[in-house]
Amino acid sequence: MVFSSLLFLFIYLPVALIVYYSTPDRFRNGVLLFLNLVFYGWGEPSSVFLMLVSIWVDYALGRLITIQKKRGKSGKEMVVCSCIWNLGLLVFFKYLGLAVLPIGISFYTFQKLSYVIDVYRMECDSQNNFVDFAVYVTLFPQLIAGPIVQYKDLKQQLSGRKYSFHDMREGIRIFTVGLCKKVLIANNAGELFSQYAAKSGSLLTMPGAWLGLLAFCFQIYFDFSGYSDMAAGLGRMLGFTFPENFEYPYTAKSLTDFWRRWHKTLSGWFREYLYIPLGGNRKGKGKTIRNLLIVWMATGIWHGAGWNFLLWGFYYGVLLVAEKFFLLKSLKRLPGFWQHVYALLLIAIGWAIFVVPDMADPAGYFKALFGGQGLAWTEADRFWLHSYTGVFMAAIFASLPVGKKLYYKQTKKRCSIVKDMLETVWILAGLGVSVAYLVDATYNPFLYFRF
Amino acid sequence: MSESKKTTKTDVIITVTFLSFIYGIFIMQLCKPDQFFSDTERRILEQRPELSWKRILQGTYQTDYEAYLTDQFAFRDFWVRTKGLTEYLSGKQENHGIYYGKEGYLMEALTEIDMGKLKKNVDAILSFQQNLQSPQEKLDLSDTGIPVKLCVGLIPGSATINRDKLPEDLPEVDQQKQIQKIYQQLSKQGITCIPVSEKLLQHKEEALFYRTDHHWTSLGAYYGYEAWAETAQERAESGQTWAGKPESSSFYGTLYDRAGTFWIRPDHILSYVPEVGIKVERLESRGWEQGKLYDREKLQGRDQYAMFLGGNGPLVHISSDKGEGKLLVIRDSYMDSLAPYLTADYGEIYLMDPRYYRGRAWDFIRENRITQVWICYSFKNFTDDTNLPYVLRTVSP
Repeated sequence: MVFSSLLFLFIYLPVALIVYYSTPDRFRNGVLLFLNLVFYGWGEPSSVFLMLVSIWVDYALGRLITIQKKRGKSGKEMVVCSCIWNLGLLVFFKYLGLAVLPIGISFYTFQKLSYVIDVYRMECDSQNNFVDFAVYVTLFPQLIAGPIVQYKDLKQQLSGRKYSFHDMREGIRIFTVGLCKKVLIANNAGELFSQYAAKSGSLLTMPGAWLGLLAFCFQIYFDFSGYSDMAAGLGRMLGFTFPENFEYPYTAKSLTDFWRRWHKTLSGWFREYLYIPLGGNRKGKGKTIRNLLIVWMATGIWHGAGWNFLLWGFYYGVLLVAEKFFLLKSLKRLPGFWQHVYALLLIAIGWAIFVVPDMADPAGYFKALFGGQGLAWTEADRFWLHSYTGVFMAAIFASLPVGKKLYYKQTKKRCSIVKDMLETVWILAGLGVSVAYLVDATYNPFLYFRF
Repeated sequence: MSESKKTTKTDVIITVTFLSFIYGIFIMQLCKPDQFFSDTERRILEQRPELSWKRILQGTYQTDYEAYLTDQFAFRDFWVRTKGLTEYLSGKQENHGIYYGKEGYLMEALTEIDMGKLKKNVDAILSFQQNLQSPQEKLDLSDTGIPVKLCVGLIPGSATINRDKLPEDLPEVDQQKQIQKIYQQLSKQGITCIPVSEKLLQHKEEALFYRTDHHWTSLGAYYGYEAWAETAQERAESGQTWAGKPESSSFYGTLYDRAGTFWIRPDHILSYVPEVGIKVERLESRGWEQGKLYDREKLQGRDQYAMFLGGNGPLVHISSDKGEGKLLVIRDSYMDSLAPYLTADYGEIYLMDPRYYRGRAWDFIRENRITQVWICYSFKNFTDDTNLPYVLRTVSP
């Protein structure tokens, strides 16, 4: 099931909210678990069983670690088991492709690993309530595409949730923003990119290739951040607060800055559970470089089983090492504008590597990007640019914190009736137009569904 | 972490608004009766899927249910139109394969041609002609002693003729050029090719195509007829003039619905040829039934263009007391606007639609002693159609 679908918005969500809030607090987690499994099982009935088994394994391992610790042992074997089990499953489905990839596996295995490691490190107690633990893993807002929430960040909310109209309202607002990002910007930008991605190299020109790539840059950002917003909004509606996943990444002034703003929960996870255990930057320059490269290649390969993803990770690894050791110092001496240009150019090229599997003629596309197929606009390029003006303008506006600043300025104003009306109107309009697009299209897949 | 803030008025208003929206539609969806056929989409809508444990475990029930929900969604047409308007306002120049043109014109886009299908159709015509010319077949066909003459007419779309009403930069196929290339191949085999594009372009300032429909107007069809008269009959002009009779001023065509452009004004339909002395028969599943040249009952329905000869069907037979001789036209729906003019030239006109006619044109020609055959298609349909070769098949000698 997809959030940006009529089924979710007008059948699942209404039913889920009623069921959830009409259950007394004591049983709410149990009911939530049921709702989570319905959500997950709707698209993949056969994967539910595997997921429950997988959850039970880590639940048991968590408890075993606690038992071991009570006996004065470290419990390290359990962590190793968990890693073998979780990463093994991931390798089996994702990298060896031996069976159909269960949706969300890349996200929930990382969440389970974080639990086991957190318990081992004694950063929290094991969760002895199976239902509560299962709710943590299967929470439908973030089950399929994140954000990746580390166990220690959510455990309080598993049993101590507070509910308020304010949270509901915030959740609605954030959810609507996410829905609009996905349906109105990402899907449309994706249409434009598909036009260019389908062409063979000889039909591409430099301006055209860049226009297409720009469209993809917007598509992937709004698809992913839109989804994260919808997840955060839904979580909020249920009384959960998730960490922020995106922070205006395209306003970055360097690649280091970019990765502090893009998919923060993933880079946070890798820092916490891979970079730091490897020694981080505390074991000398050589080891730091090695650690960075390992982490970034892992990040790359997490996104997909393909050489291009590995290359994408390595690309960032190398550039981030360069920035860390000398590039950033030089960059900071440039005027802000050029720092942005530097960052955006390299980010865009990174995305071109990332999206190679979707290109009909990747070699030709890259050749066009660097001027090898001609530098002039074609008729078709101008047509597409004109057609997607609205989408691009919205995308650029939404990539900048302008909207947020305006919103907060408004909420301080004294004329509250106008403010209320405006916000209500915007939310209704956003919902309405998104629904219009959803009805009009019959096909609305997510980019990240290979996870 | 969220601090439990005091509930403000805004919190309540927004929550209530959102919940009303989703619950409102939720309830409406449950109470709304299922629709079987959509007028605007001109297709049967998905119906409630069969519920069974097996289908749930396989996931087929879920996919079917989602398709059912989308098809039966409340106010579907309203949502589609909202999207059409939003597209237009955001600078899009095309929606669902239809261009937004100037002066309230909608036009079908043709950006890619399936060259494989096109070649199959052209080859089918060529081999049909070869068989018509071969001595063995001539003997077979001509009790009349007159060789069967083949003409081909390909009609360009509105986007080609009304090019100036579209943005300059368009990834649109040059239909005129493509038609000329095909004509070159065909005329080598002695097929008479009708220069429809050139004739229409000469009159492009006039209303040759409907604004809301992909068909040509009766006026456009008249010029198509003129092009045929000049080329096939080798006479300067038909000589007849008719006054246009208004049949409808509320014609919302196929493009209007598909593009969701509810703000565009409707078209007028005119007829030119009077019905006097013309009889029409249509072949239906029950056999031949009486039809009309202008079936005005169709003006009450969704597809007003079907007024011309009653719309789609395998075979239509027109008898006219003003003309002489027999003509077979293998065609698509564009011909319906043109056929009335041919009643001045032929006594018996047969219109055959390969989408529905299951027999062979060959047999038909022989049984009815036809001496003139015309293959007439809109170019877009010609590049798309897979039924024409089937109807044109002949037994090779």
